This record gives sequence, structure tokens and C-alpha cells, in this order.
Amino acid sequence: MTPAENNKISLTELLLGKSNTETDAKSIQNTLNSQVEQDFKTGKTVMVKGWVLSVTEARQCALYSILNA
Amino acid sequence: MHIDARTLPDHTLIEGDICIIGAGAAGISIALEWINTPYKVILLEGGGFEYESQMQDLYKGKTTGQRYYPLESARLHYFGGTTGHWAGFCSPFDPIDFKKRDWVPHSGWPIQREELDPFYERAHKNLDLGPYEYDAKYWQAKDPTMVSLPFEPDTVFNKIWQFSPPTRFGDKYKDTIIKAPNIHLYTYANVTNITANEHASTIKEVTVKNFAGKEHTVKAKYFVVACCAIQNARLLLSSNKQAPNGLGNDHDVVGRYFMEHLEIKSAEMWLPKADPLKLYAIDFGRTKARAELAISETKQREYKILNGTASFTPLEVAKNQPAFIDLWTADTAQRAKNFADFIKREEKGKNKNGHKAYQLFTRLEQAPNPSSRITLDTDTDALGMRRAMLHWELTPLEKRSIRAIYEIIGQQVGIASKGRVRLLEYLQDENDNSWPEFTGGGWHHMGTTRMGTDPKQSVVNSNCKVHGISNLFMAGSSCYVTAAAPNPTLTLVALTLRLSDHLKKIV
Repeated sequence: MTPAENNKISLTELLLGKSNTETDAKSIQNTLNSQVEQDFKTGKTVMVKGWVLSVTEARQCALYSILNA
Repeated sequence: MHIDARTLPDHTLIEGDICIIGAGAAGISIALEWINTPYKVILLEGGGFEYESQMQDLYKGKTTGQRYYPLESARLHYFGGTTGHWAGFCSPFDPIDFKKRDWVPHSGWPIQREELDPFYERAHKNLDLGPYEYDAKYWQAKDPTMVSLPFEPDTVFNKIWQFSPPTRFGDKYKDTIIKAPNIHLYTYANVTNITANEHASTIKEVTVKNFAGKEHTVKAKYFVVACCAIQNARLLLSSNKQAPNGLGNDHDVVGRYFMEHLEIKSAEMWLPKADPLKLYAIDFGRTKARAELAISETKQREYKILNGTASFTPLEVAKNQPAFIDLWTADTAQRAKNFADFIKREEKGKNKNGHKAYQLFTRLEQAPNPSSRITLDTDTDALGMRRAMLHWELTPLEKRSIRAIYEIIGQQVGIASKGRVRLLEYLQDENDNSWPEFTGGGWHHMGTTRMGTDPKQSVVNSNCKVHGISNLFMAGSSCYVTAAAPNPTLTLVALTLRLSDHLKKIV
């Protein structure tokens, strides 16, 4: 995770891919869940206020934070 | 046979083949091995058969460095020793604990785990433990509801603990020892000095004193010091008439490398739904075995961390519990209440359906550290012996290890989709090497007369014999080179039985 990610477009692309056109909530959830699982398996984790999270989870948190700022 | 040393005429000479100094788990375990042998064994106990404040006061001493319990709270000074209040937690050390690890300074025993296995099995009998079985599968076959967390076993495995009732050696073995015709138990026989020959190469005798004002002399062919890690070092350092720095201390190693187990709350684990985690739970007095999460040897090597384990306490219970370091008070009534309340809250907070949130509690070996040490104070006790002083010192490796352990467990929890792990605040900044106020130990003392092959870096050899002294042996956890994660009693009894077998070969 880098400071360059700190905006809505970058985070969305990193979470769902650049060419993503998916709008179905269930599909998005499935995609993200499998990414989260893969992150943990490959050690792509990050500590956020003590929580051991997958990078995908941390990006979702960041995106949520930006969208609700 | 039992003799109260207060009733003997002053300056009595006591003679035997083997003199064991200290009647705790180690001293009694050796004595039991020698019953019905043709040898006269002198077993010296400083106290009597019950707790006495006057005796306990002899264990008082100052502490510096990392905040620590009052020294007199950690050991009991009467027949049976600290088994009079131990909790009974037992588990063998792991093979890696005995190995030289290049990331753990001063690690590496001169013996390996497999050499202790037969003695662990024998020690199980002394401690009233179950079969010498530490594979989780053995216990799960007996109770299929003890389900493992689905972690990768080559990363995080289930390390089994067994529970002694807990055996109170004073109660259980008193009659056996007293009835043994060749075991001569002397109570109120505090050893205050060990006298060697002129060159300090052989021990001639020890001096015992008591509050009746009596002083006696004990002569034997072999002497075994089994007084606990702090007192073992104190006695060697105090015995400085023939060796100015103390016996076995030509190279300033006696008292150094004092080790404790870091026992500290470290993280939380939040589950998607309540789970009793039965494999990892303990019901005091009933549970025979339970697991703690342990980090595999492979991962310890990869992360270059110390060995440690994690146990689970329901978070709503743990949040209301004081830290161990705050439980003990000098006021006897308040102390009893603190401990009773602690257990009451644990019992009350249990829910058979399980909990959604658990506190993860660490049990971690301390890295051997020469600056963490026992020395002598100028202040003396009521028998005129200089008091022990403890300087307890931790290193950044301990903190980095705890942090890494929960990062590893956190990843495993994520892989298994069993929830998430959150490290407590004091672990979140990887550049912060300080310790919070609630940091405590397990009341475990180890390492002050460490084992090794080099007399410049150790006090005893692989048979627990003091380097350079032909007939002086140290028994107990003072001989540990590293502390491992498990409570020390099982291993110290095993090591003592091994010493006993060695003595039988040479006596």
C-alpha cells in the first residue's frame, strides 16, 4: 500500500481491476472474498491499528473512509 | 527418618554419602530415587513442614531493572518447596529449545531433547501426570470435541500441556521420605555456607543454621544443591572462603543468565461466531490436557524469533482481570482474596457455548542475557547470609518475537477464515522496545548456573557437575541454558532424575 493509492479511483482499480465493470454486489463480494483469502495465503497482510488484515481488506477500509469523508 | 535440626546439640556433625540441599521438587525427586539403596542420603530442608513467615523472609531480596514480583512471593521455603503453590502446568521443551540458534545469543545446550525423553516419562510419575503423550491427536481421539483450529501445522501447531493435580510434594512424599531408613531428612537445616578444600576443587562440608541458634556441619562424598535458581546462585556466591568470587565462579558466570517466562496479554482474536475452543480451554482440576498455539521450528527460523505459545481466555473475562504482576500483595488476607477473586471471575465468565472474542496470552522464553542476573546484597538475612538481588533485564528480541508470533497467528486465522486478530497497543509500533506496566513473568526462575561445555561460559557440565569441583552438583532449573516456553517443573524433574542416574554410576 502506498500514498499514491490514497484516492477513490486508484483504490477501486486496485480492488476490482482497471477494466472492471462489475456492478452486482454479490459478484463484487465474491471477488473481494477470494482476493482476501489469496492475500492471507501469500502473506499480503498489513497491520492497521493492531488488526492483522489482508491488503484487500485494508484497501476496502481506506475506500470506505474516503467515500464517507 | 526425620530429624528436626533445632533439637540437635549445637555443632553436631552429620555424615552421609550424598547430601541433598533443598527439599523441593528437585531435592525430593532425587531422594526418592535413592530409597532402599545402600547409601546414606542426607536431605537438608531449611524450613519445616508448613509455611512460616520467618522462613519465607530469608528469600526476600531487592530487584532492579524490569519490574518484578517480590522475591519472597515466588518460592516457598518449607518441605515440598514451591510445589506447595504451583499450578501444575506441564509440557516438555521442544527439540529446537536445546539447539544452537544463531539469532538467539548464548543458546544451545550440551544435551538434546531426545536425551531427556526417558526422564520426562519418569518425571510424569512424580508429578501424577497422564501418559507421556504430547501429540494433540492422542487427546483428540479420547475426546473428539477437542477440535483443532484449522491452521497449517508446519506454521502453527497445537502444543499440548498436561496438568498435574497439582502434586504437592510436601504432602505426597512426606511419609515416604520419613519412613525410608536410609534417607535422613533434616528440617530447619538452612545451608549458609559450602566449604571446599584449599584449591576449591572438592567440597568438604556444608554449614547449616537455624533460628534456634544452632549450627551444624554436614560431611558427605557428594553434594547436590537443589534450592531453586535464585538460591542456588546465592549459595555458590556466598561460599567464598576458598574461592573469592564464590564456588564455581572463576569466570563470573554464577548468577548470570537469569531467565523468566514472559507471561503477558498480547492480542485479541475475534471469531465470526461463538466457539468454545475446547481443545484450548482449561477447567481447573478437571482438564487433563489442553493445547496452546505454538510456532513451528521452521517459522521460528524464518522469522528469527524466540519460542513462545498463545493461550485463549474469553475476552470479557480477561478484560476484568488484573495483571499477574499486580496480584501479589504483602498483606496475606488481601493476597488470598486477589487470587480467589481471579479464579472466581474465570469460572463465572465461562460459557459452555463459547465466546466470539478471546484474549491471546503469551508464554515466551526469555533470551539468555548475561546482564539479567543474581548478585549478593550487602544486606544480610536473619541467619547472617547476604541476601540475593535480582536484576531482571529483557532485550528487544523478546518484544519482536511476541509481535511476530501474532502476525503469524493472525495470518493463519485469516487463511482459515476463522476471524481476525488484533495486536494490543504496546505491540503495534515495531520501533517501540519498551514494555507496558502489566508485563510480568510466570514466577519461574531459570538459568543462574547454566549448563555448558566451556567453563568460561557456563557453571555446570552436561551432568550438572560444577566445573572444576569434583563432587558438587546443581539440580533444577538453574541449569537451564534456555527457558523454552513451557513451565519449568516437568523439565527440572526430568533433568534431576537424569542427574540422579549419573550419581548412581559414579558413587
